[in-house]
Amino acid sequence: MTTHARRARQFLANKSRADWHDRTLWFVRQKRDRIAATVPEWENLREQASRIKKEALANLDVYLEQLETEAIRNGVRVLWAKDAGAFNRIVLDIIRQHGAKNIVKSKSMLTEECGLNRFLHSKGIEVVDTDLGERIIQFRQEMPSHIVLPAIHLKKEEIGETFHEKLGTEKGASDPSYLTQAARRHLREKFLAADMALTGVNFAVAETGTVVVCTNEGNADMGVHAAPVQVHCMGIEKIIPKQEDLGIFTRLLARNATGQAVTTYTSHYRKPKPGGAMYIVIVDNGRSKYLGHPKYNDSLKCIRCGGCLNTCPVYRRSGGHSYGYVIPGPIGSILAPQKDVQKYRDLPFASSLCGSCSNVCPVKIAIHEQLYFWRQDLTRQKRTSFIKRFSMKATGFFLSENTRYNFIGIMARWAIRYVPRGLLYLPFNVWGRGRELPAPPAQSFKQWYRRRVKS
Amino acid sequence: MKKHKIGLFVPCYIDMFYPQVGIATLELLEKLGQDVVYPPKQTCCGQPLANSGSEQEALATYRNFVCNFRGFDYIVTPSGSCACHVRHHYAILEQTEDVKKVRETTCELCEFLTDILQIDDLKIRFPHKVGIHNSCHGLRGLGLASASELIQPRYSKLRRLLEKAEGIELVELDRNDECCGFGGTFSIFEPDVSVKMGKDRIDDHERNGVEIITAADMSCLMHLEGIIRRQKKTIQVKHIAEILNCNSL
Amino acid sequence: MSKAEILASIRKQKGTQVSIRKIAQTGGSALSVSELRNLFIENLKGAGAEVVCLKREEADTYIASAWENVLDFSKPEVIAEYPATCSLEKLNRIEHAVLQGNLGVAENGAIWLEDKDLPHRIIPFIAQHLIFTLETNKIIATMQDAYQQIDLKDTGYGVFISGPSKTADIEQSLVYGAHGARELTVLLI
Repeated sequence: MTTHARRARQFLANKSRADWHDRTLWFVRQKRDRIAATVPEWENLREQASRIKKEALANLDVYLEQLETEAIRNGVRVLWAKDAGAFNRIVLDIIRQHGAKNIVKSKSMLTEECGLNRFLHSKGIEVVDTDLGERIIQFRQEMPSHIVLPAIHLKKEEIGETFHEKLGTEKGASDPSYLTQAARRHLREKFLAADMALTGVNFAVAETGTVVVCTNEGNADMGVHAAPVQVHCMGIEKIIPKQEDLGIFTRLLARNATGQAVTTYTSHYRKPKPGGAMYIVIVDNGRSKYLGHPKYNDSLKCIRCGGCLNTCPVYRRSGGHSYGYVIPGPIGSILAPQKDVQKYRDLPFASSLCGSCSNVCPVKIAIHEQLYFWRQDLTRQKRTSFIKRFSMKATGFFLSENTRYNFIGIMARWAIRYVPRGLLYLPFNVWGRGRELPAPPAQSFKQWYRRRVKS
Repeated sequence: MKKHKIGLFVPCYIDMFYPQVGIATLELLEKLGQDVVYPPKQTCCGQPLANSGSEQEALATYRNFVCNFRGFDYIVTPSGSCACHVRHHYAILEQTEDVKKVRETTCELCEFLTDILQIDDLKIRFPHKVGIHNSCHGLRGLGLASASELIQPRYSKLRRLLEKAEGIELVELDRNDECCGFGGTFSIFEPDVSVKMGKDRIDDHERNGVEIITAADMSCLMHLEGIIRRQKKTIQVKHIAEILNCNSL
Repeated sequence: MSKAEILASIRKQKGTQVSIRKIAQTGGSALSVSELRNLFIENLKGAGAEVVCLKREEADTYIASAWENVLDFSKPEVIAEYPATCSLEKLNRIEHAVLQGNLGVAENGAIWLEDKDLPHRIIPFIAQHLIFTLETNKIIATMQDAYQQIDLKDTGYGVFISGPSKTADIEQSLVYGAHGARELTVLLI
């Protein structure tokens, strides 16, 4: 059994929790459907967004340099990191240079990807995650289980317990409103004391040197405006060429992510505040490697809306942690093997290839097709199990020629009919664990047809 | 109605375990005046291998398919998934005239009826509460119906064929086109999620009063039937070809 | 060092890419002024904001009577109270802040503010209760229209705000007042 399948089994062991997870995310998907339907030109917007991203990726070097030029002109310092290690060191340098002690961070999947918190912790520096969901999982020392709803795997009682322990809320209190207010008080103190704010980036506009951050809580802005130093961390693929392109993406992003018409705050940072310092850190960390890949480069169009997670019937029933990668779900299953193909080799198989992810994707990444391609590449590279490869070879042998094919049909029908149930449903029969085998018919279609033609 | 020369493709698991679906398809097409041939040396479309990542092992099976099915006006199959596979994934074969023609002319049964024969009233009587399971590859790969994710006018070729049946009640589901969890070898390599998805699908149909779940893919129904029988439920599955061929009027 | 390596890697890889830019901008909205206004109000309310429609001459009286200790940042004397050097602690004590919005987006209720509207960038976030005034004729249809009207090169910072701060990170139950303003009132002039 693959790692994902094993973890999924654990997740499903708690049926009511698993059902809740499925229902809750399906509800988000339904909200998305309803609000997308209010935009008649929706499919056209998706096409435009896809093309803009393709263009940005096609001329990525040009746009990144344009962004840098504009940003420098705006008094922003631009730094480049080729991998996670370089990125973490750059952030550490900025922290040391400014002598920052109190660091707040708003949501950034990139810093998760690079393990920034862990790295800084090892240097004796604590970063406070300020997105409520992120703060919860930071308290619990867990990974986010969703890229937009990081604590969606938790129930309010568990969060209440954590807050009781960390924030001194009343024992047993689990009202979301009460807990949110406790977090507000706790984090406002952190904001007021902050001397440096880190954020992720949703879009970076090459034309104007602006970075755009979208939040509902307002935590990015609280941090950025309270702290004298602001640091915006972006993957190289976050770039879009023009200001007008934002019009397309801001129409798609929140609608597709959570079913809102727009995030509460869409913030555009271009120049540092008076007397403040602003940095943009541009990170590659393996992205450029896939830029020219004819099959996989489309994945770089991703704007991290999480829509494919919400719609994925497998994600909803296995939970984000079952994937073992910082970005779970369908998009994670095609991004993870780009990072470490051996480690994440089972993820492209954690899908029924239903294709819902590709239809939902606001930038039209054919996610399910990439999963299919990854499966082929993983087999070709002999990264799938020997037994699987052997059994596929054998199956290919039987399916490719009529007589051999007929033989296995006869054998299968014979086995289901005559092999004692106890033997037929031994644990090696994985199908039979939750399902009956089909009732064997007296004859195959082929046998029936032969008799029909004769008579 | 124009008479076409049709190659009937009966997918491997239908041939082996559900011959009545192949028979219904054949009889229905013949009733509609079509010239139907069943190439006797056909096997499988190769999808089980390819979806498991073993496309290379499937090439011989692909070639056998093309070899058996060249020379027809249309290749019709009671499986959206197989039709989708031939159409999209035979792209890795050398694109000879035969391969191109086979890819272009392979149709799933319902789309053949509605799009090529342009018929939707099959003069049938089927007084049952029926739930349509929209199999994913037919739905999203072939466009047998509008997918719920896309913002486009709603349509369904299966519904069009069924709704004219006398006495039928087509039941609306809570989730119109969620995957059943079969997914080929996904059902083996991810058994727990697969079975859970199947159970949830069956629950949706049961909750809404469905007596018979139908689909254009027997593979989904095989998976659902396996769960239904294990759980000793009374709800039934029936391939749409069997309903369309019941012709009791 | 990293920069040169990244750009070299990009240039090496991007060979197979094709540039595609054929974007038909969607045309102007077919909605009338009152339809835009109604849609804007509906969306703002949907996002948890309150909307009050007023005549221009009523605004000051309304603001003064509706909230105690309200700070109207369109007034020079109020701005003078909060100079650039004022402390975060002082800003943190702001209960009710009035700011002038200069663009409203009908399709989502978002209101655009930029540096020139903000004595301090943090005010819309740090205030407990936020009040925007907006002229009805500044409501446009979509975000695409909005980005045609604003110019990011004019401002060091700009933000669209579409409601009170909110979160649903605990079991997806919606709670207003996450980190920013707990309440948003929009006075449509």
